[in-house]
Amino acid sequence: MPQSNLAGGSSVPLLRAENIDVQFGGLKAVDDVSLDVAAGEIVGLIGPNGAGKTTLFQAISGFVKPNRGTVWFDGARIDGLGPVEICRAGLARTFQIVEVFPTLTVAETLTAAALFRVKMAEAKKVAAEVAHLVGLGAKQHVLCRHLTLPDQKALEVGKAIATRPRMILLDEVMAGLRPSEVTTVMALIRSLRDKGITFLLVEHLMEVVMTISDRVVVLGSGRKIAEGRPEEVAANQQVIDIYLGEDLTRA
Amino acid sequence: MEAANPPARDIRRHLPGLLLLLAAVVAPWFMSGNWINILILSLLFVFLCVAWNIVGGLTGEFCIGHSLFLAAGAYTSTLLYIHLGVSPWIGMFAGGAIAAAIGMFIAWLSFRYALPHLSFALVTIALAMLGYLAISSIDFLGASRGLTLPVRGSAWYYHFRSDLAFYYIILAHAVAAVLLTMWLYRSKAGLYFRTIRDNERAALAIGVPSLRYKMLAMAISAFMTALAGVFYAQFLLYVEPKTFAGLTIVIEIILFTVVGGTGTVWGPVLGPLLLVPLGEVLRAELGGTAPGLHLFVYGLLLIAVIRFMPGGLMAALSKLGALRVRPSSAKEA
Ligand SMILES: Nc1ncnc2c1ncn2[C@@H]1O[C@H](COP(=O)(O)OP(=O)(O)OP(=O)(O)O)[C@@H](O)[C@H]1O
Ligand SMILES: [Mg+2]
Repeated sequence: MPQSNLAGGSSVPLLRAENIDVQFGGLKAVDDVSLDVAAGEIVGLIGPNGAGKTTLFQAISGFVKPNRGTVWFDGARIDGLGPVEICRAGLARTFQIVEVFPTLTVAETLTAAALFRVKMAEAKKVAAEVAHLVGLGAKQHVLCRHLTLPDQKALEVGKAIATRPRMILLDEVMAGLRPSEVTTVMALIRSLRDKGITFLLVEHLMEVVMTISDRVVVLGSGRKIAEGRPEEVAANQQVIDIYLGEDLTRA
Repeated sequence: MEAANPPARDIRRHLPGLLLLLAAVVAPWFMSGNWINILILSLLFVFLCVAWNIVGGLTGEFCIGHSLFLAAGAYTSTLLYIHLGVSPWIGMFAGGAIAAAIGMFIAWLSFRYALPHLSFALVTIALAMLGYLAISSIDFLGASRGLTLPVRGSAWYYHFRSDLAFYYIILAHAVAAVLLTMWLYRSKAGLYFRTIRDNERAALAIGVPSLRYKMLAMAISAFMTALAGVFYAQFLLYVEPKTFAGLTIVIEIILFTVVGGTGTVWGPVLGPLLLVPLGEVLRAELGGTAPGLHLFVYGLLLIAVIRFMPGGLMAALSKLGALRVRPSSAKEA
């Protein structure tokens, strides 16, 4: 697996979150969570509803300021930076609840996402490429508000890709998709990983997480309760307890 | 995509605009002095509405403070003219720069803490009222009496004997403003403005520095509005707070734009072209018996538009297929 190496030979993770706390009033949504993602890895982040997965993404991507803890990306500290700086540093994200531009077309949306790196003409090319990549090639001139939900989810991924990131945080981009669509998205993630993009992904579909992830991190009530290779995590008694009573393959 | 558009289709797309321009160029030849005055006022509002639309329409920030920019333009150029003999042709850039600076400051002040949407409208209304009070009480600015511009009677001092010259000057302003919007719409800045208007969270997530672009939109819009202030001051040869710093003109600008179609290229053109003459005719015909009736009619029209054609005349027209709402090749799925 490709990993970035610094002088001295020790491998440094692409993303490192250390002791992250996020407090909402009296509720500690994220409680002392640390995690590393190496360059080229696909890491799954799982946990029951309300475990704090989305909140952790919000903290890493700069949308919510963590109350404590540090985040490193690509060798630089990014906690305290805003979402724009973090995106421009090469760390893109998707939203669990899709966030589209209702009056922009698919092509305009993707062009806008590409524009901070390249000029307009090039950005339009990137937009067309990405549209095809996420299966929206035929819908480039459709207004986003007229897209179906699966297409909006695809666009959510497309926006992240069009910013040409080194790493993408995916928040349940496969929820609500048909099995065939899930397969397509999984293939897309794998092919992007082969091109060097790193992933941290939240997904409730256990089959998906367990097959696609190199490593899995489990959150429960804001705390990290397990971490390891998929089969290790699946055999972890604490994880089994947490998921007991919940349908492991909620679709 | 648009590059593949054959020239013939491009011409057809721009045909309504070109015809409108042609009509505007020849119109004064067939008109009496009174109607030329009405047309000058209409075009002044076209220019003002197109300028406001860059902030209120493209970027989606409901600014009520544009009277500040109108006043900044009018008063700056007038003071430079009166006290230092500077031509308003030069003074207008000073006024524009001051207005742009004020606009950027207001945007920065209102948006840096990501206050909710409505608060921007409230902040700008408060500042506009403050500006009005300040201008009305500062003696150097003529207070509520206003300032009368000395007539130097030459084109170099932005003064013309015939209204026709003023007509073509404001027409040039309006045409330039429309061309700027068309270009802006597809430029990087315009695309960023529209992402901010549509969904600011999503805009941030794709690396759009929204504060900076809101400030840019305000700067452009404020600069243009100041130029309108300079024009109006030269046309009236008189500046005073009610006309130049009062909220009435801002309300008219917003009303005409909303009726025409906020956020579109042609909405802020159509709105004032229809409503200003309508208002003037009503005022002339019924001003004696029912003063203020035109405001009542404006209000009714506004309610009708909001109720029956959200998106304004442009949206209604594009539904009829007569014109396109957006200059891009967007299709409704
Ligand atoms: N903005 C907020 N203000 C207050 N509480 C919040 C906020 N966002 C999330 N929470 C709370 O924080 C906890 C963690 O929520 P979060 O959305 O991170 O969970 P999640 O793991 O993503 O859940 P899901 O699987 O349902 O998406 C929940 O109890 C939630 O109600
Ligand atoms: Mg979530």
